[in-house]
Amino acid sequence: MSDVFGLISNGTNPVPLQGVCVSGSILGRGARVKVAQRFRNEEADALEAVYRFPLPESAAVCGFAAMVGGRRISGSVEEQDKAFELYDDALARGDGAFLLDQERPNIFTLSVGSLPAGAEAVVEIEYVALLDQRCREVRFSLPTTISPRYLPADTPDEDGIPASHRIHPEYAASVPYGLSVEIAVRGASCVESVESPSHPINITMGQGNGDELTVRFASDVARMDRDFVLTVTQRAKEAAGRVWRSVDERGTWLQLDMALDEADEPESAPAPSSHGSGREVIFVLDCSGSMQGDSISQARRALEVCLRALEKGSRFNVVRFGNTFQSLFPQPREYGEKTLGEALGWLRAVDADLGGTEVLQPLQHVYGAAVPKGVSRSVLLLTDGQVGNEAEVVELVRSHVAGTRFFCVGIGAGPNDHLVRGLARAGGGAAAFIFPGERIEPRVLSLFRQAVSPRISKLQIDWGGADEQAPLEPILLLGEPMSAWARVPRGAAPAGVTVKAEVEGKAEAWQLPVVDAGSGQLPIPTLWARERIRGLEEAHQAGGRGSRQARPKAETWRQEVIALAREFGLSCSLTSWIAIEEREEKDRQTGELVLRKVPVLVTLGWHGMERFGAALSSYVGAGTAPSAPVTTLGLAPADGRPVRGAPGERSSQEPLYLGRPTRSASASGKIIAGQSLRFSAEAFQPDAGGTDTDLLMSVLSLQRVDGGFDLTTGDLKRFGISASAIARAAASAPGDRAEALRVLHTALVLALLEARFADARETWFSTVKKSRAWLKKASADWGPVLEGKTVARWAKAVVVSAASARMI
Amino acid sequence: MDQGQYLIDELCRLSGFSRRTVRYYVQEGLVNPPAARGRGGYYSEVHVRQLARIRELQERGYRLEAIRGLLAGAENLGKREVPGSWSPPFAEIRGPEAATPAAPELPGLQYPRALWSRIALAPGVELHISAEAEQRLGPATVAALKSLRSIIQKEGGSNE
Repeated sequence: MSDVFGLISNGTNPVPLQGVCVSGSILGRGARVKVAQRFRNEEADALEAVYRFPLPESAAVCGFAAMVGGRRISGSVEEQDKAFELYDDALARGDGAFLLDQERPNIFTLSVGSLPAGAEAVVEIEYVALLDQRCREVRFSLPTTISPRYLPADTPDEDGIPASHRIHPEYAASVPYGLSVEIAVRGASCVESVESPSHPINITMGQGNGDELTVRFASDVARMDRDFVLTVTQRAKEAAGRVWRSVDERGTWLQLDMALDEADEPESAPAPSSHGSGREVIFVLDCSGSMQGDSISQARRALEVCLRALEKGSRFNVVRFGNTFQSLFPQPREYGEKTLGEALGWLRAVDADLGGTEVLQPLQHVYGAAVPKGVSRSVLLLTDGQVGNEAEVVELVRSHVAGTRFFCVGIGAGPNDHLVRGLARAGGGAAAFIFPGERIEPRVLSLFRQAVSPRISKLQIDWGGADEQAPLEPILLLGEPMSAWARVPRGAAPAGVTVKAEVEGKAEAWQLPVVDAGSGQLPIPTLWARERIRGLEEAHQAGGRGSRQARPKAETWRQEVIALAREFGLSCSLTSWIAIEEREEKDRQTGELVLRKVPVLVTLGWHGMERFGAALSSYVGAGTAPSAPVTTLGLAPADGRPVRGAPGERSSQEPLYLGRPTRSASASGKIIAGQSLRFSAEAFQPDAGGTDTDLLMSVLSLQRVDGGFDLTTGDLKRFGISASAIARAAASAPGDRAEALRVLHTALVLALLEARFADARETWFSTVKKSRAWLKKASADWGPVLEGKTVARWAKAVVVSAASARMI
Repeated sequence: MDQGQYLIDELCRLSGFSRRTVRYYVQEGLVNPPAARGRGGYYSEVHVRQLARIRELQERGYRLEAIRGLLAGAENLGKREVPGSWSPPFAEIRGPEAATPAAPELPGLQYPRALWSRIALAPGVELHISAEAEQRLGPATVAALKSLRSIIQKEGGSNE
């Protein structure tokens, strides 16, 4: 701890960065964002300011400009070395220059050259991105700082410069600048709720064109030590599949969006024996210091539920890692009573006590075990991903994609999204993110569901004409939205697009209608180009890491990427943004420039250095009054001043329901009605005990190896069901008494899930697949016995009457 | 002292480094600043030689952090040239168990390229293994050697 701070600059030099302001809009899954960074030189000498900062990995950086002396200077995209030369030449001449380099897809370096004494400059960076979506929830995430990342001792230099120097900023214990945001959520009438797990926010209704709401921080300026996360829940699910079309002088552009729903999953459960035997699931759990506290206990519980849900006959293993790694079994074992018991015992003792994040070695161990023929392996990794050797880790996963799918959950206040997404892309799986305080279990279970679902392969899209498609191999998974883009000749006007794939060897096809994208809401050409460039970059990485002999091929690759990036105005691994401010002779700065690297904060919770809660009394900068502490809760009065409340108050976790604004201004209410509607969401306070998620998890963790459930009297009581009534029912049921009781308990659990946890269906549905199959088999010869009803109907009636009794 | 005669472009062409890299080396103090102040300065044969030396060491597999140590070492030893068969000075030995640092490297906290592993077994007892020996002995033998530490600790020696 203290030795890390020993390396942090003591902040004696003035920091030229004054503040960062992010504005943007969200419409459906699309986001357009502008990041404005304000610089000011408060020193006596001219200086060069260098600021290293993160952007989302999914961002297509499509605009760069500098505002200086009342002028706006637009940037252009150039090949990286060329851009540096232009920058360097400008500085040598005494002109001003602004350079934006991409060090990693989520790490950028901005150089602001020759800022004269007293001068100010604002740099604007614009990006577009498609946001993550799970069911009706769209997730906007903006990183604010770069965690120190682990680099193996033998990481090669990049262009003669140590990798560490390309990805790490300078760190400081406090910085004088902060972040403000203003995000418009458009189409507000289709939005059910807006929440931020990361920051207290204020929401203002209906500015501008009416059908939008605006989100700002409750405290105006926030400390830049955690991601800003905003989740927007739509009222209704969007139409399942659709292709958007836009036309410009370059061609016809198509964007395909589709998702396979639960309903599409073949429910005709095959015999369990054939089901489990072809599967292998390896759970890999990050036990580095940053996982301490709630993260590790929730991760443990999520894994327990996953383990209990595995099919008999499948194989599994659990690996935990930090600086070192430990494997539950030396090799994956067959799932059964004994191995499950061992695994659960092992898991209970697991703690986040293994230090740093060395993810490559445990994965090498996992991939070192051969997959038996005919077995489909899935790896599920939970990590904060703080490593700098992403390419190496991603390569390992990519090289095994034929036999192994990879799923990755990014956990923490600032996970490395490039690693998490990169691994999922390379491994044909999916990624999800969890901010501290958000529940881990639902997301892990929804990835688990995908990990054990049938593999969809040989996916092909027929765009209705000659096409340039990106990505070349889109990934289609149950419940995961898939997007793909294509450029087709200008004259082509396909009315429909066909997607074909094999689902566990069986051919399937989907027809999607083509609709007009309208007045440029979706920047389809930009997204197409970004994806195309990413594909070329990743193919190059896969093909020729370190092979200098492949020069001619490498040259074509370079030229294609640079040409695309320049044509569409995008930064990438080979291009940078450059803007030059030509100055009059008298204003030229030809003397020595003082270099000022802008220090940044270490991510909250990094290596357990600063736990959540310890840093809650955050304030922004020197000279600024401490901002409202994050323990602010509940509602804001109309003037926007946050109201303080006791930590852990439940109302603070409730989302804002926009649907009924006029009648809910109650004392404990969630919103204040009126013209200006404000709400402060509490961050960092995990659900108090006894929430629905807790109840759901405790139910799911009762599942037996065979899929059945045994409930205690206490369990039944919690659900409002009388144990004696169930015992009487069992007595009248056919067969062995204990077996009959288990059948009834299992039927009750399934009915309870349907009735009480319908909203969380995505979380539990596949974890009780085994239970459904078991129940069907165990009660096959029962017929209508209980009060003349089938078991399922009987259970439903019991649950419904228990629920109505609770209501009264 | 050589007279400055090259502009940055020519220096890059002669050395084969990109301008970004040359500026970085100057900024890091690995290469002398140009003769005149500011970016428009001139470079001389001294700069060409400094860059050539860095390039040569890189081609022999050294990474920059190791090169920094070597150059500093050479400077400390009376400006002696780096000989062809360089035997590592003490400064080049990496820290205890550097292969698995407990925390990610932060700028300013890098270990030079590993030539020797130094394993502190107990106060006053150290084990040094060269990379070459490590390869020759194999991981099992090295692990056995490293386990000496736990033996010493169990026997009552105190470490850390």
